[in-house]
Amino acid sequence: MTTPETLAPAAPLAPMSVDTIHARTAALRHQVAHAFIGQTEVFDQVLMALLAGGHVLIEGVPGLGKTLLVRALAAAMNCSFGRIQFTPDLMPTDVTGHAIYDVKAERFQVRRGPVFANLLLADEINRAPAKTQAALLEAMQEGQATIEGRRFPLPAPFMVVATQNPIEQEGTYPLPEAQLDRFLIKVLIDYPSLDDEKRMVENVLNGKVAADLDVSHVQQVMTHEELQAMQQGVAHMHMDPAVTDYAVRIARATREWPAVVGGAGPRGGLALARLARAHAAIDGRDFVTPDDVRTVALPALRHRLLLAPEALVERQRPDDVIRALLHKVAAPRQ
Amino acid sequence: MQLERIGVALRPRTSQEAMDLGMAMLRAHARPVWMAWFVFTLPIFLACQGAAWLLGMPWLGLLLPWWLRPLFDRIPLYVLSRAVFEQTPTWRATLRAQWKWPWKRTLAALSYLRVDTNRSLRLPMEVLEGVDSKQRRARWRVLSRPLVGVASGLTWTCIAFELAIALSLCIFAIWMVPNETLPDSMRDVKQALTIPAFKHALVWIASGVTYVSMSIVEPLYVATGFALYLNRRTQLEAWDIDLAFRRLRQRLVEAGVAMVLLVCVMGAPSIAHAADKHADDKQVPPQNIAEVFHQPVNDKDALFASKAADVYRDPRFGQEHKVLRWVLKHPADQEPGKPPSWFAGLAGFGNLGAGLLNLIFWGLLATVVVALIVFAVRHLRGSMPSMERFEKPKVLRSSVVHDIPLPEDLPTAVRELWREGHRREALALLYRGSVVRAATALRIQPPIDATEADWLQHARTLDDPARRERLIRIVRTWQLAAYADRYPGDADIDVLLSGWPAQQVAP
Repeated sequence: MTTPETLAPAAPLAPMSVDTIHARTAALRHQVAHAFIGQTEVFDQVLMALLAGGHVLIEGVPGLGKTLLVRALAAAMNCSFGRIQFTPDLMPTDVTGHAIYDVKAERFQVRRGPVFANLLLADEINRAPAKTQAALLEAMQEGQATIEGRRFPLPAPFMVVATQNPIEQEGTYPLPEAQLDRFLIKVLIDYPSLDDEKRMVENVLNGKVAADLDVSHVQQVMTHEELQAMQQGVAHMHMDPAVTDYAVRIARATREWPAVVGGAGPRGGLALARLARAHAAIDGRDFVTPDDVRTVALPALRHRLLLAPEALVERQRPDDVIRALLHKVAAPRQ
Repeated sequence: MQLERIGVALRPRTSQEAMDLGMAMLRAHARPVWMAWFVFTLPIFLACQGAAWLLGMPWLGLLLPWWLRPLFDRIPLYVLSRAVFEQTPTWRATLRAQWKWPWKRTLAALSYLRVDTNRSLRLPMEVLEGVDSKQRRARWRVLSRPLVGVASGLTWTCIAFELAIALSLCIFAIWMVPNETLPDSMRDVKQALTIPAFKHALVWIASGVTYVSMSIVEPLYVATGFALYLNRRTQLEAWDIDLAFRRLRQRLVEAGVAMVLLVCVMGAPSIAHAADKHADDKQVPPQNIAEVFHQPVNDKDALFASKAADVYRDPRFGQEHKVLRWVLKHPADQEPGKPPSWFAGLAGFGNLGAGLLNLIFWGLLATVVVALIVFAVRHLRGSMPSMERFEKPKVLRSSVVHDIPLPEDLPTAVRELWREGHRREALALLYRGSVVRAATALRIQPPIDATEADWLQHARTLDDPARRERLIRIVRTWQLAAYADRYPGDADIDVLLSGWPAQQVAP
């Protein structure tokens, strides 16, 4: 049974100023770096998605610290953390939760699933069948989960960090384009640099970071209420129409590009604008420039492009196309 | 040969019908064929595997059974060649008979005839007929002339069939193995192939699967080839007519005996002696054509030998004549040898049509060749790394910008706009003018995609420090005005325009 009253909107929070956002994100970066060493670009992109209120898809081989990053973020923001290992036999109720009959109380009780967390790590999301993926998508898109016909709002803030392995494709259910479109950003995580890897090993040897995802050294620097205020601050940032126009033209150009058979939809332009604002806020600016848009173009658009078979045969990647495309789109000058 | 005992209905058949007959024969005698097959081939197959294992060359276990197929083919051929005369042998008899059967041609089939695609048709001729080497070529030419294509097609079909079975078995086996039970190194085929044990195991499995598929298909291949051979001989030697005559003679003889008996019972005692004498003569029916025609016909007969030699010496024997002319399928009433009057015109028209068809076919062939060349050229061009192919041909609508032309006296135009309250337009004009001027100084074309950050980088490469500082200030001012809505004061505009040389960026 649907109970709309369970979806009462949360009280609006006062937007945080850009200067405070800048300071808080710097502190957050500092704390997370105690556990998640190096990979600053990855962290910045995840942070942008967090501030923009979107969800993240991370692609990378196992063992690069994806879980650690999310746990460290949760610890630094005092947010609840949930983790789901997606497998072919995972059921939607394993994600959202289910109703169980309580013999003593003689009634059904709802047992909430791991999706009821502020930060949810969906590990290897493409290993689960479409039905289970769809259950997570409802949570991502609508901020709610349906259990036995009843809708339950998810705690705010809510962010999904889904991962997928680029190497093992056997026995996977690749996410359809429409589903990929729900992710605000796609982050590619690669092996750390030599220096970062050395630091990581040294830290483990010094006992600062254990191999079992130790985030005990990460101190809380904000509450999740403050995080919501930061998100509000980013949402209220000024964006000149010329910059919006630039973002939309880039998104539209993907549909005209010869090597692309399926370009970014309207969500692409929206993602560019949202992420550009977050990027400007992290940079300490209260205005967005075309450079912000250009900086976020790769992570915002790479998962929204469907390349032509000829381009795939030539081993072109969406990143190559986006880079080439950015050179063809005129920057605002008026 | 005792045609009377043949167990199949003899009549000239099409090749497809003949092959169908072969399959029917195999179905009818499946048990003795496959029993003998496995008893004969399985030990040899295992011996091959053992040899391969001992020599440390697993691929030998795959190659040897394949190479020995002509040897294995003797088994189904022996069973079927006896079964067709309703003398189906047991597997023991089949194996024993292999010692007596000629081996010479099998050795040839295992050596220089191994890759012959007409193997199934050649096998019965060489093993069953046992003709000497002089006549073999002429015999093969006569026998195989209309069947070469069919026999080759049969070979390729059986190869494809065998491959399909082998692949299906392999895929079935792979499906049966749960993916979770495979070690990680085995899941990636490329990686797994680097493991020697995995490669060897693959070859052993392939050997086993190949043997199974060979055991299914090879008897079928031999049976269909044998049926083609039977059919061809029926066509050439009119076995069906021969058989019909033999049966007719049999019926007449039986009827004659009955008549004689009737006469003996009903007739006068005076002719009883004569009747008995004739009856004694007819007690043994003729066993061959020679006896039927009261003329000795065999290889030992001198007359027959000389006649046969004459035939082989005749220059017309073995020669081919190609005659091309139009013949009506259903000849109308006309004088023999004389076509109707309208036929000459029709023949001319037909020749013209044939010529046209010829032209069309050649044209089609040329078109196909040209299309293949074009496709190959495109494919080769496409396979080269050419990112530009996707970039250059199209002008993006999103890239089109409608810049207002720069005025000849830019500072004056900027000041006018500023005074009129069009502050954004004034600063946009100043920004555009500045970057065009910087591009001229740097001897580059102003890129359409260059943002403020790009121009700041370009500014740092300018030699003139004053110009560099001014460009940086203008870009920063424009950024704040355009995107943060923070405009400079009038004095700042004057400072920005102070070092601007007049009419320097006029288009």
